[in-house]
Amino acid sequence: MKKLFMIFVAITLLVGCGAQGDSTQTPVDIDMTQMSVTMVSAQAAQLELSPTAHLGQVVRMRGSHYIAFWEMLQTDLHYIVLDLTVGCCGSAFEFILSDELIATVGYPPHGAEIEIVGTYSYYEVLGHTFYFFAVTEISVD
Amino acid sequence: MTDIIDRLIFYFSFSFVQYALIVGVLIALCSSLLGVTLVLKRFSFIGDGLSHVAFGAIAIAAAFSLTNQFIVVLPITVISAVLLLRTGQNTSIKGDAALAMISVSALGLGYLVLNVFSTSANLAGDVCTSLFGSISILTLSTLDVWLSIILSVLVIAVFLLFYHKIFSVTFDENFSTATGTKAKTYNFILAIVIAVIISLAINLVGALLISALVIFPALSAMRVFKSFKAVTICSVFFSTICAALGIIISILAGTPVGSTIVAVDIVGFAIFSLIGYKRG
Repeated sequence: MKKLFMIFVAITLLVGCGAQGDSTQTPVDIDMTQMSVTMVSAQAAQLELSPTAHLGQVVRMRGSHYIAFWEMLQTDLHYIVLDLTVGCCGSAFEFILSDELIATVGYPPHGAEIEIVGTYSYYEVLGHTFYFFAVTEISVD
Repeated sequence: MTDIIDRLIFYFSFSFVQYALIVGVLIALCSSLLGVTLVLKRFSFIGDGLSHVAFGAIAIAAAFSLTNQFIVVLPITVISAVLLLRTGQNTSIKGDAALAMISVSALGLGYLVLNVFSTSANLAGDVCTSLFGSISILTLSTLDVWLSIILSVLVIAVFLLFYHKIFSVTFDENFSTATGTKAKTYNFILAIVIAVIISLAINLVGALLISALVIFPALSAMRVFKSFKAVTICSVFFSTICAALGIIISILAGTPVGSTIVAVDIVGFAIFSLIGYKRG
């Protein structure tokens, strides 16, 4: 009985540790905050040119928050505009915060400098496919 | 130093960086092979004119939302190269005037087509990367990479196969015609090869900077060596090393790829000029 209890405690601790790790520091596949300007531009272009190849990848990126209003659907769209790009090769990606983040921190104000960690995903509206980052971590400077 | 090596290892873990280096070095190799011939035949500026034509072709491909622009760029550039050589020889519009006319027409119409018909959300970025090669070499698809490798191998094969004929036509076209060499045919082959190189090189340095890939390696090698063979071999090494260095510096320092390669070419030219001056 004591042995079974110890195994239960060990499993609970392991699961607990795993859950805590996931919520604070998500493992990322592509960390764009560690890249030079040229590499950020190139990586952003890769995400835009071949989105299906990057679906499911977890990406960390830094930029400024831009809010656009989509009249047809009467909803706000949130973008991260990458500041550090080569010359005129600017890039922006839509992101959507997780329900947990919306409840706790919410969307930052328009123009705020943000760093996000999100999974590259897509949704379909009006017959078009839109790619976005499903964000699980956000920090505002 | 360890930090730089760590960063390079990190960057080269991305397949698009590996592709950029492979294709970049191959393009530099091809352009330097023909560069010597172009400089000696006083056709240095033909690369510039054709690159503007290629930009116009890219605009047409973008207007039709073609994913593989090579399908449009390559044939248009080849036809223009052949027309330019024919126009220069036979008609009332002579070589330099014809080149300037085609060059500005293609550039102007290309930008017009892009503005009117392009569906891209980032027009400024498209123009910037097509003209200056900011990051285009880092955005190649697998198909682009294979196409570049196959075309580069073909260009190298043509050069090696017709080396003696190209040498003969380069130095004295009249003499080579008199000795039975079909100079017009070899000029035609040269025009096609140049067009292929331009179509490839637009990805590396952009339309406005292509001439640098053609002239700097040849001129630098000519500062130090005197024979056609030695100049060609030296310009190949010069060009490939400068292209590789340029790509590496640009991803480390965060600078545009095309202009960084040209900057490295300029430094290389200065060093070779100094060596040539010291040698007397």
